[in-house]
Amino acid sequence: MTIKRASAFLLTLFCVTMIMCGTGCQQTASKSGAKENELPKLKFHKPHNFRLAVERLREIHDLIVAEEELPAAITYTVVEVRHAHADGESHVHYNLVKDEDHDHDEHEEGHEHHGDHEHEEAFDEETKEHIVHVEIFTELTDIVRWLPGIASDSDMAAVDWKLVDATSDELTSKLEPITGAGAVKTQREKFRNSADEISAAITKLEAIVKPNAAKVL
Amino acid sequence: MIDYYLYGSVLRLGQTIVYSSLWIFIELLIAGIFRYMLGPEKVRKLFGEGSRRGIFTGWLIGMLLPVCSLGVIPIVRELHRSGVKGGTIIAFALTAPLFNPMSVLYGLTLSDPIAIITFSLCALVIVSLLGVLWDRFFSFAVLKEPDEKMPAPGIKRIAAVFYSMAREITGASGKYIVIGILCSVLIAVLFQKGHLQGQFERDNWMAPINVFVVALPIYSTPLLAMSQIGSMFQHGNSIGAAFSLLIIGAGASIGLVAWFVRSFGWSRAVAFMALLASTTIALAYAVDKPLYPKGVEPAGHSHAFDVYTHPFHMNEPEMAESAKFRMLEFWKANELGATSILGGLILFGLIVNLVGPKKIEAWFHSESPRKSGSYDIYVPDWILGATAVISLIVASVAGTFLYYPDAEELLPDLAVINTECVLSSRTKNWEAAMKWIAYADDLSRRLEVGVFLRHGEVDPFKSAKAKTYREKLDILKHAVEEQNEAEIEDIAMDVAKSYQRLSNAFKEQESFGISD
Repeated sequence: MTIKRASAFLLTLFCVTMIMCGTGCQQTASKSGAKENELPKLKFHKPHNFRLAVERLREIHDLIVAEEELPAAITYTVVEVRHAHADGESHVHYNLVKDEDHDHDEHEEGHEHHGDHEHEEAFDEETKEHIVHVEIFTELTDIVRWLPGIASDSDMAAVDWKLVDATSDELTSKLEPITGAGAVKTQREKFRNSADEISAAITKLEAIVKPNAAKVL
Repeated sequence: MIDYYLYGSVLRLGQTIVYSSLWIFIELLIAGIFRYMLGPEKVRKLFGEGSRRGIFTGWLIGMLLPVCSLGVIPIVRELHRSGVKGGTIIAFALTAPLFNPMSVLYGLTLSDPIAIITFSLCALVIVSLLGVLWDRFFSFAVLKEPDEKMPAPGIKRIAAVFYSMAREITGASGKYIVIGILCSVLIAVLFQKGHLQGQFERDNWMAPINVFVVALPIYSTPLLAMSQIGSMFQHGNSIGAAFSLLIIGAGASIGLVAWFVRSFGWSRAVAFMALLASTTIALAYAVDKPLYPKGVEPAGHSHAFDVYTHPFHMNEPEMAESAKFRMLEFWKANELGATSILGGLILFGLIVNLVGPKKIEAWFHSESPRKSGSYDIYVPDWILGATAVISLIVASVAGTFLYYPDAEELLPDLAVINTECVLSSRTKNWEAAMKWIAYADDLSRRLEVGVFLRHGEVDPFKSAKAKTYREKLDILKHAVEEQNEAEIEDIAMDVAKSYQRLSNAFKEQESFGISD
């Protein structure tokens, strides 16, 4: 009797778990339907150093508050390289197509090009090209989020880095309601309402860059 | 093809034995103390006999003792023999391999502390649920054998503990441990090198279930599992998968399951496994999204499972030499002493089996004439046993301080390893580079934990430098894996520069000048 009750209980519990798993599957299945064209977050628009990151933030700020139309999204082509280690599956790399003219020619020296590389013959490669668009608000939030990491990869003093970290948090909290506002037009309007505060935060970052001009930032 | 499987198996087998030897030795000692110093009655009392705190006690003792999923077998066998309730044994058996002071500290510093605390609480939920249900439905499964006679006090009692260790490792516990190790090796050689790198991504809804299936046969120590979880957080992999890895990868092994089947029968073992699977997978899905670390971008791959796949590519040349070299390096770097001691214990056990244990056991139980003397005090066995258990817990905490040294002590070692890392990469010594990169990564983590242990926090600036350094090492690792000769020089120099910044940050210098 006890065994039967235990088995019935376990069976019920198992069914509940499976239903829970099933619900989880349905929630994510809708996402995975669109997954075929989704790429992981690529960092080809990540500024190479802190000075360039701050310059680009100011540039983006000025572009958004200006009366002119927003520039087109940065567009670049990446090659998805899937390595098959002679006999089996391995991981995927995304390499920027070399000598490509990006749409952001004003700071072409300044972003990361990690990933494009030569391979030894031990690898079988399967490649696929993707066109990636990074619109201005995405670039803005990405750079803001990357700031502490970029600053950490420099000779910046601890006191300055902590200010960068705090400013990155401050800007992130200011940008969250803006970038979650839906259409780019609405985002731009909301940004303009907070433009002074955002500009003040960028000024703090610029103040860190100037006295450290001689250092590798 | 034969070389591929043969040398892959030999290397993974050797690595697993080396990795597990210290843990198995400690756990055999704990089982020996339980058996011949505490005795069955005291063990039952220690684990809350006749009270409602049995499961909690099992969980708490499990959290404090340094135990792994293979080494836990002699202990649970001893608990079962002592007549401890099944629910308490389950609570201990599942908790002990998951956490110890060293691994929890590692997790708290390097993963998200909230995530590690949540993981610990979820583990408590799982073991409590399993324990309570087991005691509710299978309370009759407690072994009721007459308590074994305790050995005579003095040297005989101490000798009995070591005798018990030797008998266990060459007896039933040894068989279950071998089953666990062989299954771990088998699963490793079945997966091609790097095969699991892309399987446990954040957006793969099957990841927690996949890990559950893969992780059951694998062997992982608590510290290794915690470092792998840290790596999964860093790479933005599925958090549900990380949870499954902790509970099943570190907490269970096929050896433990085999013991369960043997001791409690198929039906109860299946019921236990079904319940463990249900609760673990359900909780894995529950924590998957809420615990995902903020600001982490999915790397699109994971290195956490690299050690559970084949060590060679199928067409790799000179596998025999490579396996021998890697095995020797691994042995020298990890537990050379513990493997030797365990080897000695096995030899002693085999000799005892040949000589015949009855004579030795009779000697243990024979009463020696008591010598009168003011220094020859009779110490009750429970005081000796309790002292030994408390000493193990204290040693576990003290070991934490030794394993995570002060920055001042660790930085010179890291400097040497970093130099090896950079030099081997620049000279295109790919195999050596892979080895040094892994050491450097590990030491940079221990550096942070060491600071946390002594100061209660790690300055965010120092953490950022350590994180940046590990990111650079990760880039270097990929370049080395791909034998990227064109960029290796620049990437290696970038690592060198990043190390210098890390070192200066931990030496608390405000800034310094390095030019490009």
